[in-house]
Parts: sequence; C-alpha cells; structure tokens
Amino acid sequence: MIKYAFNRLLTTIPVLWIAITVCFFILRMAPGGPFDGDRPLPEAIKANLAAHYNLDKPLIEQYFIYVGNVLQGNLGPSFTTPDFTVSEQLAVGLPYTLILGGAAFFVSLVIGVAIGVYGALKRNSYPDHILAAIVLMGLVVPGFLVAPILQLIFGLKLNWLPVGGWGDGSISYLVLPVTVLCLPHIARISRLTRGSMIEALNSNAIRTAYSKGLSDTAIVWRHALRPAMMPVLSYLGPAAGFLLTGSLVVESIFGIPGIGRYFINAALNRDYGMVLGTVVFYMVLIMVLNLLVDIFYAWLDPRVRTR
Amino acid sequence: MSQRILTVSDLTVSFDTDDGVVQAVRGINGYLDRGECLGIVGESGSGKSQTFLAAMGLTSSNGHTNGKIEFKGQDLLSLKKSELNKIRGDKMSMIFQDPLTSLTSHLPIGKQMQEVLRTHRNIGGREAMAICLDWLERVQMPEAKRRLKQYPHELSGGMRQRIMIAMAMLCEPDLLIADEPTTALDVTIQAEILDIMDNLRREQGTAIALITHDMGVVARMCDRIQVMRHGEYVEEGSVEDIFYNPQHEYTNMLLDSVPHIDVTGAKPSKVSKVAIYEDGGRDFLRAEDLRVEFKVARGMFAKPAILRAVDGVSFDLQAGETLGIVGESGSGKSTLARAVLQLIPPTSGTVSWLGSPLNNIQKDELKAKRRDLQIVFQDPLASLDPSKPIGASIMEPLTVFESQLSKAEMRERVNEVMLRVGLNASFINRYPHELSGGQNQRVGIARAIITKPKLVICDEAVSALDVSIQSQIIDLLMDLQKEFGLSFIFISHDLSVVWEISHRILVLYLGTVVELTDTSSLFSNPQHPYTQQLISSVPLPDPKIERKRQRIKLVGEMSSPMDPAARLRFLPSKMHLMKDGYIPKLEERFPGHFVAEHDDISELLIS
Amino acid sequence: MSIRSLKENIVEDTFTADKETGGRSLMQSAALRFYRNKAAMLSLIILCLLILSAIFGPYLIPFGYEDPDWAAFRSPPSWDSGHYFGTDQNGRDLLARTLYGTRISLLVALVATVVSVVIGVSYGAVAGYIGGSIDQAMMRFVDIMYALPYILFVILLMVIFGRNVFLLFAAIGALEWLTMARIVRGQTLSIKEREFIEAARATGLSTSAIIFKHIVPNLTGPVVIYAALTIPEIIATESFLSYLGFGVQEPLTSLGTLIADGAGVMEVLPWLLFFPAGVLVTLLISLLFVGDGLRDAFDAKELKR
Repeated sequence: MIKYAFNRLLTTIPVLWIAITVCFFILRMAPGGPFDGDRPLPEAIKANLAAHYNLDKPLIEQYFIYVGNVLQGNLGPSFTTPDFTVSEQLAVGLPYTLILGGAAFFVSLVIGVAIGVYGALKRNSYPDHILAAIVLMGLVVPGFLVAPILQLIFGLKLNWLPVGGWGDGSISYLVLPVTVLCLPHIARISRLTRGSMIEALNSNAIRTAYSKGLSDTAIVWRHALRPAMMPVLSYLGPAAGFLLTGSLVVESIFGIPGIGRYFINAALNRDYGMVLGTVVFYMVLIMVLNLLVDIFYAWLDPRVRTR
Repeated sequence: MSQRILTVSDLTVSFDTDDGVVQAVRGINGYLDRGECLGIVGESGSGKSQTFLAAMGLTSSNGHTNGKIEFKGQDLLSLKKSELNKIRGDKMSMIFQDPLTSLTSHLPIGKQMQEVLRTHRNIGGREAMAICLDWLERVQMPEAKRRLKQYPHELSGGMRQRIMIAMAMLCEPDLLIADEPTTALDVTIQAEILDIMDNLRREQGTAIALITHDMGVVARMCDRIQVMRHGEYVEEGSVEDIFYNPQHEYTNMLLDSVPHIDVTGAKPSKVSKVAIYEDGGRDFLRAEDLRVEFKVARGMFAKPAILRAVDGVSFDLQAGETLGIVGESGSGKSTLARAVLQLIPPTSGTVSWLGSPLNNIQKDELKAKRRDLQIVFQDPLASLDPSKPIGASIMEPLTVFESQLSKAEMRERVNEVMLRVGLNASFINRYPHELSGGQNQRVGIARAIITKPKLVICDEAVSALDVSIQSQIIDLLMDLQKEFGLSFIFISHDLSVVWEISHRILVLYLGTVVELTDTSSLFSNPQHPYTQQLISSVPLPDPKIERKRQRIKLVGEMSSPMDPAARLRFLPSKMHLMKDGYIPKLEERFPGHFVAEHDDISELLIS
Repeated sequence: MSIRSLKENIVEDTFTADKETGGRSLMQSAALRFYRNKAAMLSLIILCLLILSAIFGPYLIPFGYEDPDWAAFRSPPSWDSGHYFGTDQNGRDLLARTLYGTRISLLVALVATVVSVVIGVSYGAVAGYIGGSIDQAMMRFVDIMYALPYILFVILLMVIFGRNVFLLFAAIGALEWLTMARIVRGQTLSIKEREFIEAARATGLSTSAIIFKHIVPNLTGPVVIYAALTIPEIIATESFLSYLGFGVQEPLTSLGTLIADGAGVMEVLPWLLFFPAGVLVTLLISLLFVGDGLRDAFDAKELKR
C-alpha cells in the first residue's frame, strides 16, 4: 500500500514539472511584453522594469530562476499589483476558495450519491424519473445563468439570503454560491452513481449475495455500494478541477474575494505573472487532489493494490 | 425412505425484452427428494437455469413467474422477500458457473462466509470462524486457514468454486442448486469439484439439483435426469432410462452428438484414414524446439519477468492427418498454434513447411505461403468483422490471393463455398450478429477453406458451441478433410472431441510436450501420469462405465508457467535441478509414442 | 446472460423463418433503435429546427443583428412591433441577435468538434495500433494534459493570443480531443485483440489494409457517439468563456455573450436573459438526449459515464 502510494507520488512529480514548463514557455511565447499597456511607457522605465523582473535575461535562465522560485513556494511577481507577490495574493484568496470549494465538494458528493443510489434502487419509478429530470437541468443550465436567477429569487424578491459578498463568513453567505457550484456536480455524480449502482446490483456477486439470504440493506451497503462507488471515486479527481474552474464564475458573480476572482481579473488585465502563478498553483492543487483520490481508490479496491 | 423437498408445478417464466415477451419456461412440473441428485440437461437457451433461479427468487427484474414451487410445503413464489430470505442460504443454497465474478471482490473470503452464519444462525466471531474453517477443510481447501483472510482474486478458479460450495453448505441446506458449477473449470479440477459435491450428498443427505449441458457430468453424478428444450421438459427419467433407453428424439440426438471416448483402444468412427498426398510424408509440417516467450511487466521499476508460454515443442504432421493438441488453460496450446502460423513470432526454434522454413523469411514469401495455412478460431462471433456482411468476410482471402478474379467470379466462389459448408446462399449479405454461433462458425470455416488450403488449424473451434452444433461442425470438418485432403491441427481442452477426430494427439502441459502418440494408444495405454489423470478426469457419458472408473489424483494443482517448480511437478526427484531450468526430456518409449520424463506414478498420487 | 442467449435464440428463429436476402448491419440496427427512442427522436427534431433557424432565420426577419431600431429601445417582446423577442438597450432586435448567437455557438461547436475528432482519432488510433512503449508515452502525455485545469488553459491561451473567435474554436477543440483520443485508443486496442484481426493477418492482409478495412470501420460508432456528446460540452464551454469575457466579442455575439448581457439587466429587462437562456438550455438538452440516444442505440457500455 505504502509502496503503491510512493510509486504514484514518484510519477506525479515529473508530470507536474512538465506541466509547469509547458505553461511557462507558452506564456513567454506571448506576443508583446507585460508592460505594453494602453499607455506606452517610456523605454527607460520599461527596461528598468524588465531588469527588475529578470525579463532581460535569456529565456532559459528565466526559466531556471522561475522553477527555483516555485520550488521555494514563490510564484513570482505580479505585474499589475507590484506591492504584492503572486504567492501573497493567493494566500489572501485561498481560504475563501477552499471553504467554498470544500463545502461544494462535500455537498455534491453526499447529495449526488444519495440521489444516485436512490435512483438505482427505485429505477424507472416516478421518483426516479422526476429526480433524473431535475438533475438533468442542473447539468445543462450553466452556473452563470442559475446564479443570477437564484440571486433574484432568494436575494431580491424573498430577501432570505444575502445576494453576494462574504460578510462575516456565516453560512447564509455560503448557501447560494455553494448551491450554484454544486448543481452540475450533483448531476454528474448522481448519474454516475445510478449507472454503476445498477451495474453492481446486476452483477453475479450480488446474485450470490441474494442467494445467501441476506437482507436488501446488507446487500446494498456491504456488497454493492463499494464497487458502485469506484467510478464515482475516479471522477472525484477531475471533479476537484471542475469545482475550481466553476468557482471562477461563482466568485465573480457573488463577489467573493477568492483566488478565482484574482485570476479572472489578472487574465482580463493581462497580468502574466499572476496568471502563470495561479495556473501553476491550481495545477499543484489538482494533482495533489488526484493523487489522494488514487491512493484512496487503491485502498478501497484490493485488486488495484496488488497489481 | 424418500422425503419430498421440492415440487414444481405448472411453472412458467417469461421475460419482457425489446423484441417482445420471451417464454423461457413453459409450464413444467417436477420434484426433488431428499438426498437425490437431479440433473437438468439442456443446450443454451433451453431455460434450464430459470426454474431454479425462480425458486431462489433470482429471476431478473424483467421476468414474470407463474405456477408453484413448493419447498417443504411453502410456496416460494408467493413468499414475501423477508420470508424467502429465511430459506435461501439456509435450507436451500446455490452455486454458480463463474466463481470469480460470483464472489464479492472487496471482501475477504472469511467475511463473506461468516455473514451467512450471522444472518441465519446469529453466530459470529470465533465460533463462526471455526465453522467456516471446518467447511473449507471439508471441501479439501489447501491451507484453509490462510484463505479466510484472502480476497477472491488471489485464488485459482478451482479454489474459488470450493469456497462457493463451502459457503453454500455452511447452514447444511436440504437442497443445493448447482448451475453449471464446473463449466468454467479445467477437467482435472472439474473431477475434484464433482467428487466433493458427490461426497456432500452422501454424507449430509443434501439433495442436489445439477444444471448442466455436459452429459458426462450427468452420467457421473445424477440419479434422475430431466432433459430440457425450448423451456419444456422433453423427457424425464432415471439415469439408466435416459442413457440406455431414451424415448424422445431430442434426447437421442443429444446422446448421439456427444463423443463417447473408448479407452479400450478402438478407433473412433469419425477419423478418416490417413492419406499421404503427393506433397509428401514427414516434410509436410515440422516444428522443432519451438519456443515463445512473453515479457510480463512487474511494476515500474522491476525487471519484466519472462513467461515461457511455449517451451521447446517439437512435432510433425503428415498431409491429410489430424493432430490433436490437448491441454488445460495456461498450457500454451493457442500460443503454439499462432507460433506455427507465424501470427506470433517464435522466440526460437523452427517451423518448416513442405521442406522450407516458415519463420525468419521475407514478408512477401510468408504472405504467399499463408494461402495454404489457415485458421479457425474459438469464438465464431469475435472472429468475424462485425461491420462487414459475411459474404465480404468469406471473400477476403480471394481478394488477397486471387485478385485476378473478377467480382462476379469471386461471388460465384463465395456462393460455392457457402453451399459446401451448409450455409444458405441467401445469407451472403447478412451480418455476423444476425447469425447463430454455429452458422458463424460455418462462415469462419468457409473463409478458411475458400483458397483451398492444405493445413487448417482449429483453435478450440467447437468449444463455444452446443453439443448438437458441435457434432455438426465436426462432421463438416471431417467431410472437408476427405474431400480436399486437408490436414488439421485441432486444438482443444476437450479430450473427447480430440479423441473423436484425431489421428495422433499431443498432450501439452505448461508449454512442454508431455506425451505424443496415436489416438488409440494414448487412450488405451497412457504413459505419463498427467495424461492418465487427464483421461481419468473426463466424465464419460455412460453411467455404468463412468461410475466404476477409478479417478487418478495427483499431488499439486496446475500452477502458473511463471513458477519454475511447476515444470518439475511430475519429476520431483530432479527438483534440485530446478535452478538450472531443467525441463523433463521427451523419450520415445514405444515406436512413435513419446513420453516426457517423469517419476513413477505411485510417487505422485495423493495418498 | 441467459436472457441474452434467449434473445439470440429468438433472433435465430425469426431469422430462419424469413427468407429476405438483405441483412441489417450494426449501423442500421442502431439507427432503428435510435428511431424507436422517443426522447432522442423528439430532441433530434428540435435540434434540426434550431439549426435550420440559426442558418436561415437571420435572412427571414427584417432586422439585422447589429442594427438599432430607432423606434424601439428596450421594448419588451410584442407581436405588433415585429420584435417578437423584444429589443435591447441599443434597440437591436433580440430575435435577430439570438438567432445569430445560436449560429455562432453552433459554429464554434462544429469547428471545435471537427478539430477534436481529427486530432483525437488519429492520435488514439496510432497509439492504440502501435502499442507498446510508444503507446505508453503517448497516453502519459494525455494524462498530463488531463491533469491541467483545462478552462484555465483556454483562458491562458486567450490571454496570450488575444480574443479571436477562430482561435477560440481551435483552442477548445485542441483541448477537447483528449477524451476522444482515449476512447479511440481503447477501442483500437480492444479491436486489435479481437480474433477477426488475427484472422485477417492469417489471411495475409497487409497492416494498412487491416487498419483501413477492419479497424477504422469499427471505430465509427464510438467516434460518432462521443462527438455527439462533445458538442454540448463545447457549447457550454463557449458560453462560459464568453460570459467571463474571454470568448466572442461585440459586435459579434453568441448565446453566452447574450446571457451575460442579459443577466446584468435581469430585473428591468428580463426578456434579454430569458430568451437566449431558453434557447441555450433547449439546445443543450436536445443535444444531450441525442447523444444519450446514440449511446444506447449502439449499446456502447464503455462510453457510459
């Protein structure tokens, strides 16, 4: 088990390194420098700035400086907000994003699995069809459409919940953003769970379990749930990534000061340093989550471990 | 003193499918007494499993049952699920064909067994463990204690089926339903499993309902037989009545289709005389010291292990001759076939064809020779391109080897050959998924013979087919052999089929030749202990002979070709040479009768 | 299992009964199954209507998508004025803009899907057929790409190369090919192992003949299904990016851009949100049902997600 985790970790590192390298060079391939703004700066200032940010050095040297900095947790300077480094800005935004994303992750997993298992057990009944239809809406109606509608209904018309902002961080501020972030994932997870649960319930192993005279609850919980959860589990890695990208919109719409908002602003302002830093940070986060999911997966399925 | 356990009356089972309602069982009646073994025999799609799946409440959700199944006075079909749960697993239990998928993969064996006791007897912990262990020992599970903590995927097929049986027996049921319990297993393992079941019946008085397609298994195990076809019992009676005095033509046909191995040395009727054609005697096909090795990855950093699938096999074949190659799973028989045809390049050794080599030659040269060397595969459906009508598949060799022919001429040839293999010419535009298994296999044969080849390798060509279809295909192959003077290499795990059609037989064990001789001396005078075990394990479809036979049981189980000790299983006296990779040598004990070196059989028998 | 063999028997019986000479290919039977699927057929009809109106609609209505109607600013939907969907703050006809936006969204989807199919199929087929360590390396690369948060990547590209619609097409397509490559590779691998490929080799067919005659035709089903499932994803992505301001720019418009504009004035001019949103949701739902229907029709278990 430990060996498996170690192997998996060893393969993650080169992947991460390659990814960082690719991102770095793509950004450097960009036409025009970061200081080619609307108002052209005097050449001297430009040169000064370039020297300050090491931009006058050969590309390969810049690359090594950058990788060295990343290894020390320094994601480089932000070009539009020179008072703060990228790492500092991310550190400010991170707690908001993590709380939002974590809550959404947890909620969509619990609700998604519950709906999926229920649908599989009562398949083709009316509740199943109705749930499937609702869930489908969650999948196709984009978050940037759901969000304003929910704001309109619950915030402005009914006045139950705050329309945006973080406030004191109480739950009432989280309800709407988390709901918007969750809906597509509840949809995906429940569809996935329902499908794999039906497959698991139709398997030979479950037939044996029935032939042993076990109760339905024992069969579902002890025998069917675990194999049925395997596809769901392998979706959780990508889901973490989707949640992070989803939080871009949600943070913008609800005015939550997380890293997603920083990223959007940086991208719109063409702040290369910030964009690169955020992407690298996201990648590390997503790969770590993927790694954890894989290890958890191996722990659950004895066949993967011994492979 | 007979005691009725199960009574089935007017049972019907039907299923809703996309193509309408399908009647799987059409009003059958039957019964089962205490301590009796009832055989339910039928071909695929006869509905033979459905009766007992219905009894166990396992009919799939699109199925409907009607009628009555009384188990000790209770009608199982009208019971509530919670009531049924008190019976199944306790008084009545079931084992299935595929023991790997039939066990829950993420739970250790011990846990899966214990939950039966917890559910029905409310026994847990040590006490339950002790009962499980006891039953594992009673089904002769090697190292029983260790198995309790293992997962199903860590065990072999035979061991898994033992576990299924032990689990089914935990509450000492009155009825054990066995649905094709040995179909997925090798013949030597099958013999052991059948013995275990037979003993349980004797010792516990458990009634057994044995659902199978194999007349040999029935002859060995059953007291009474019900023959099933299209959802109905066509005939029912004692084992003697069915085998020696069958009334219904379908029963007759089934019994006729099954090859009856004769161990007295008689020649099977279907084998043709060996005709030596002008292409010449022993130079027809010759394989010498053929080896095929595969690399098996063992994780990122470990060196790949070498798997010797074929490990120094030599044989020759005459024109018009049929060589049977027999082996259990993992013996490398299919790899050998592919190596002969150069579909897998041999690692070393030579194959020569009409005196000139087949391996290490130019691509074009090999391609030209392929015209004479064809192959028929096991799975008829998988061996045809699903996106093409069968006519196109049959025609394909012509487009390669006789591309000078016009489309019309090719079509004419396809029609001819379809007719020859018994396919209606109107099928030419049909797709494989629209045909039955037997028809698809005829397509495969048509494709193989359309270029009039000299050698056809049949790789388990009839194994996936029902017996009646199987015998039709074998008849077809034998006819073709007579007509075109074909040579066959006939690969199968099924000794009786190989016996029926081969001139000579080669017995393969873990990639090495164990014995090679003509058919009648192999069966009347087997030399190698493994051959003897193999022959004694095949259940013969003749109850009188079958029940008197002495089965030979050797120590050990067929293990992986990766295990170096496995090769010396029949030669333990030379185990000290294992490190040098010693392989038992083949010696010509009688003229034309080759036997691999082995210790005396008395050393190898299970005491 | 047993039911399947039962069905086979039935098929066999009915088959021997009728003496028709024409067979039904897997494609044709899939089409028949699709035809029987009511939800999928209805979706297909709606989808066709949407596509047709996106193509021809703009020519049939009297208003251009960027021409203001000086007589009607912020006018709600009305039958009399001819602005069936109303107008926006600049007096532009919303119906014209919605039709035009649908057209752009569909175009993005089409181009991006073609790009992803071309790259994905060739990459996957090559990796699958060659196999071995080359396959390993190629698939490792796909894994890496997978691990990248792909929207971020698109945004990154948009930041660098400027907001160009056609670049957007290509960028989305170039990132969507990953799953396609995986599916095609998996299919190729499993087809390669099938006995009919071995049979073709035993017949003496050359490698290229095997690939084009036997492997490629058997890839069509999965590719078609997956492409159909990719389209709604791309449309959703496009509207997402446009909403964030990285996608289609004024005066060009897409459904995402329209929704973004509409969301801002939802309270006062609700029709500006609801019509484009309605079209987008209808489009996505019908695409999804068509994709699901195709998948069921081909009975492609390996594509179920």
